[in-house]
Formats: sequence, C-alpha cells, structure tokens
Amino acid sequence: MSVITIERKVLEKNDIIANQNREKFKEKKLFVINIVSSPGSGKTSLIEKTIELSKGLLKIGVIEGDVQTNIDAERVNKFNVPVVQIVTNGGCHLEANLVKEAYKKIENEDFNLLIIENVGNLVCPSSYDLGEDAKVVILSTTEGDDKPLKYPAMFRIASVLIINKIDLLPYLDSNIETMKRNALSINPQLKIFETSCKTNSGLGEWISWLESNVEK
Amino acid sequence: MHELSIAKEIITIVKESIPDSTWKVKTVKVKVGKLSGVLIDSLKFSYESIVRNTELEGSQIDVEEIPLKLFCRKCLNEFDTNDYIFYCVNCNSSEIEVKAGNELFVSEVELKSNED
Repeated sequence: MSVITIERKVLEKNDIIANQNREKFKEKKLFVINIVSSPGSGKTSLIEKTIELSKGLLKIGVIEGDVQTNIDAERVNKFNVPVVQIVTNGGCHLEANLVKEAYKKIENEDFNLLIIENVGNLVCPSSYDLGEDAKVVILSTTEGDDKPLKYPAMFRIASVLIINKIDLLPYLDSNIETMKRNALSINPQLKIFETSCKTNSGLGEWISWLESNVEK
Repeated sequence: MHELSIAKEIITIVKESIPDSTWKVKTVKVKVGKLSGVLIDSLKFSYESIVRNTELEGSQIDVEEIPLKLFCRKCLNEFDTNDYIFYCVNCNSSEIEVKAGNELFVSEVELKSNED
C-alpha cells in the first residue's frame, strides 16, 4: 500500500486559464465584470440599460452565457455592440476556458468594458474565476431580503451588489434595509447600488462607477 | 449542481497521480471548505456515479469538511464560526480575512498494489 500526498487544487486548470484571461484583458486595457444572479433578476435588462445610457461614455463588449438559446445575445445585438453567446448545454456556470474561446471572437473589436453575463445561478458560478476584475451580483427585490444569508459564498466573493427592481418595493414584503444589512454581514466591503431598469433609477451612479474603473 | 464537473476534475487529478498500472486507487481524500459552495453528499454521489466501469471503479472518496475560520486584522483575533457573519466576535470590526473555509483540493490518494 502507498499513500501519495498531492495537495492539488481541484479547479487548478480553470484557475490557470482564468489568470491567462486576466493577463490578456490587462494587456488590452479592458475592465471586465462577471455578472451573476439567480435567473430572472435582471442581468440582461441591466446590460441593455447600461449600453443604452452609457453611449459616448463607455465602449462595451458582451459575452452572454446561457444553458440554452441565443435570446440574450439577440437582445444585446440590437444595440450594435460586439456580442458573443456561449451556450453551455446544461452546464450551470461559465468556466474560464469558455470565456477564453468566446473572447477570441470579439478581441479585435473596439471596446474598453467587457461584460460577461453568467448563467443564472447563485451557487456554482462563485467557484469559477473567469479572469474578471469584479464579480457583480444582482439581487432583485422580489427574491426576498434573506437571500444573502442563504448564498453566502456568492455574496462574499462579489465586489458589487446591485439591488434591482426597486420600483416594485411598494408591492413587496421585502425590506431593502434588511437586504443590505444581510449582504453587508457577509461582505462588509460590498459596494451597493439600488436600481430599477424600468424607471432608470440608480443607473447613473452605476454607470459612473463603471466609468471610474475603465481606462480611458 | 456543479459537483459533477468538480468530480470529473478530481478524477483527472487522481489518474495523473497513479504511477503505473500495477497500482489501483483505494481512497481519494478531498478537503472541502465550508465556504467553497460544494455540497459534500452531491460530490460523493457524483464521484461514485462516474467511476463506474472505469479504472477507478471500487475506489472510495473521503471528503473532509474544513470549518470557517476567520481572522480579524484589527484586534488579531482568530476564531471559528458556524455562522456566515463576517464581523469580529471580539471587537466587531469588519476587517475580516477568511483563514480557512475556501478550500477545494485533493489532499491524498491511497493506492494498493495489484499484487496485494
């Protein structure tokens, strides 16, 4: 009998590729965000609004991740920005290698902010580094104020929290202050934006934050 | 449900650690942090399902959960916690570092010789 001690990280291959992506993005002077959330919280709507309202301020490229269909890429394509759709065929998260291949298709286009929309899921995408500068988690008011406590890994690893659909607050039992308190108990450094893609509330602050991170 | 892809990565790492075909894998030891987002039961189930009819059939996966250990940069207090509250229990500071709990690695592979 023999015991081999190996101490190898399970996701080492993903991490190696994520670091290669990071190097490449740095070389291209790109600011890269990885948007994560549960399905239906408004990831694609936020991307559409961000493109629409940041015209002349930001040059955006988008990588869309979905389990099936290219509906999201078609939505984003209407805004005439570089966009690639990744279909994971059942995979519940994006991996660094998928992003590497997708990015090759738009790398010669002119943009300084790359938005990666992950598969709608608050669990699995937290384990996979894609080479991004920041993970942005969206939580919509309809999901309830307890969600940060239920998905701590995601809220801990994210740098930004967007509380979306705030226009619906009058009709809901969710309390936005409780939601923020719960999120900050997991991650006191979280930068929080409160937005509505219906009324455009809060989107100006969000776009200013993106602008301040993008290299001119 | 990313445990299936995690199990596949573990199997790749284990196969690379087998010196030659005279050895068979008996047990694979994996360490999983409480904050790693991996469900242990689901990982075991995935591993056992995909080693069937492969050279690793019959091998066991032994998963150890690493508790959450936090460190306060302000008062230098180090403490274990079962709650996901990232404030110091001593001084209430939010300058908290995760000392343990993010792990996800293969720590050991136990092999037996075919002649045993």
